[in-house]
Amino acid sequence: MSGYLLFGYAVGLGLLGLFAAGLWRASRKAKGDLRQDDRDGDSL
Amino acid sequence: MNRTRNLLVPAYWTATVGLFAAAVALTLVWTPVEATMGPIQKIFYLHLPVAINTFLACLVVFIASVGFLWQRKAWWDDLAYAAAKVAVQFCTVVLATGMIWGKSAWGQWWTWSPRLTFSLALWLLYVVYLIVRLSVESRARRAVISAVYGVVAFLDVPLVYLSARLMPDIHPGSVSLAPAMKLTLGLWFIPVTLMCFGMIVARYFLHRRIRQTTAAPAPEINQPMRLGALGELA
Amino acid sequence: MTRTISHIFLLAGKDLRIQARTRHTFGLIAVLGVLIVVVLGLGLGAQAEVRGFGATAVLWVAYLFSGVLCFEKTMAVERNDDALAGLLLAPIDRSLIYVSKLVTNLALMAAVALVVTPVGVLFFSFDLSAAPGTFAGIIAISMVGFAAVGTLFAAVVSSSRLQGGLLAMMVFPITLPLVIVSTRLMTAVFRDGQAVEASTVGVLVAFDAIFLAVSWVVFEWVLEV
Repeated sequence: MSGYLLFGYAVGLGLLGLFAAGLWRASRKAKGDLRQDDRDGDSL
Repeated sequence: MNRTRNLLVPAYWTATVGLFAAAVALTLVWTPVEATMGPIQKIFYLHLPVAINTFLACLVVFIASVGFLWQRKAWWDDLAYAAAKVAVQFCTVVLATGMIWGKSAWGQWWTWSPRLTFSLALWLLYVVYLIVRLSVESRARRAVISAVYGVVAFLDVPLVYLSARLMPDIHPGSVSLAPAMKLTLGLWFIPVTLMCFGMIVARYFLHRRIRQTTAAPAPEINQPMRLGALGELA
Repeated sequence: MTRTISHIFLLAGKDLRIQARTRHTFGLIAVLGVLIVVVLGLGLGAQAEVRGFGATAVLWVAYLFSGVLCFEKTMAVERNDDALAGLLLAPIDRSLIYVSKLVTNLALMAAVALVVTPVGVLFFSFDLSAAPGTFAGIIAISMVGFAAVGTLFAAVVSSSRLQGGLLAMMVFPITLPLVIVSTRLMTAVFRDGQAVEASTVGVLVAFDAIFLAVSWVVFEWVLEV
């Protein structure tokens, strides 16, 4: 059962990390690259 | 000012990550295992703070939506969008951890229990907010439609909560927490809340930057948007 | 007060008179509702578990889809010949436009429910005799809340470049409480033979009250510049 707990933490924290990474990349892109198609460029 | 920001931002996120690590370590090593539910109960320490922060993000969407409808200033719209994105992301974590908890404790990935039903409904409410934004091209109309939806969606949340409580709950899960557990929970709240707040703020500035670099000439940015009847740009 | 009511009836009467003459919108949404029940009936109706009170969920699907179409069309009427501009210039309180549209929508939805519900009851062998008044009452209260939200969203979304499905997408999650509560009430009354719990109905009434009030206020904000 502890396996599920570790899996849960991995998924939960992993998702949070993923979303934070996505935000970071979008920020970098917005600062460096100001192309027209960046408008609302971050994905769903 | 920029130097302060360049120091503050990395420090902020380093602290957040550090606190997460500390919380996980503490929970696995020190926090007592709950008698009736076993080790899987510890997922609660991540699940509840994220759920509370999801609600806070939804509240921000509401406030920003009201602010936009009232003042028609674009930055309210940026904030609403930022908070909605974070709300959906955090709600995804709530759903995922809730399902894993359910699978471990009751053997099924999905049940129409009050908690899971509510999480799903909340997730759908704000996913729709995001899709509404993608579906409307005109910037002004998009802001108005999103804001109206943002207001209605948040007011719907307590009603969704009440109605989800009617779903059959074969596995009631309320337990009283020992002091050590309360401490652990409190510790988890800090990095989760820091993350929620930080992500909303970061997203807000991101949206604002994108809007400003792709906007029409300057006057639009600082003046309230002029809207005709039913929201078309006049 | 009487002036307000007479204005509402004037506006709603105009829409409903158009409906009575052309039966355009009503025909469309009634047929859509029936078709939905038929399709779901074909798929589900034969299964024992879905029979009976399962009809309530099917009926809701039918109401939701036909309702969304109904709201779109009653709002779209004002796009023709700049009718909306004429409405706005009229010396009436703008929020009454919302109320009149709501009344029109409710009238149409009631008419559709009168057609679609018997079909659902028939195809799913739903025995209403235990509490027909309760059934009608629950449906009626739910419809008010549904139309309240739908009318507001339809007004906000109304545009010549309407993205298909946008209104449906917005209305469905908001009205989940109505669907959940009414189907659970039906299950309690018709399957389990329990009395209607006031607190449960209270959620429906709260939904109606909250969203009627909110829609009224927000509508004003959305119409104004």
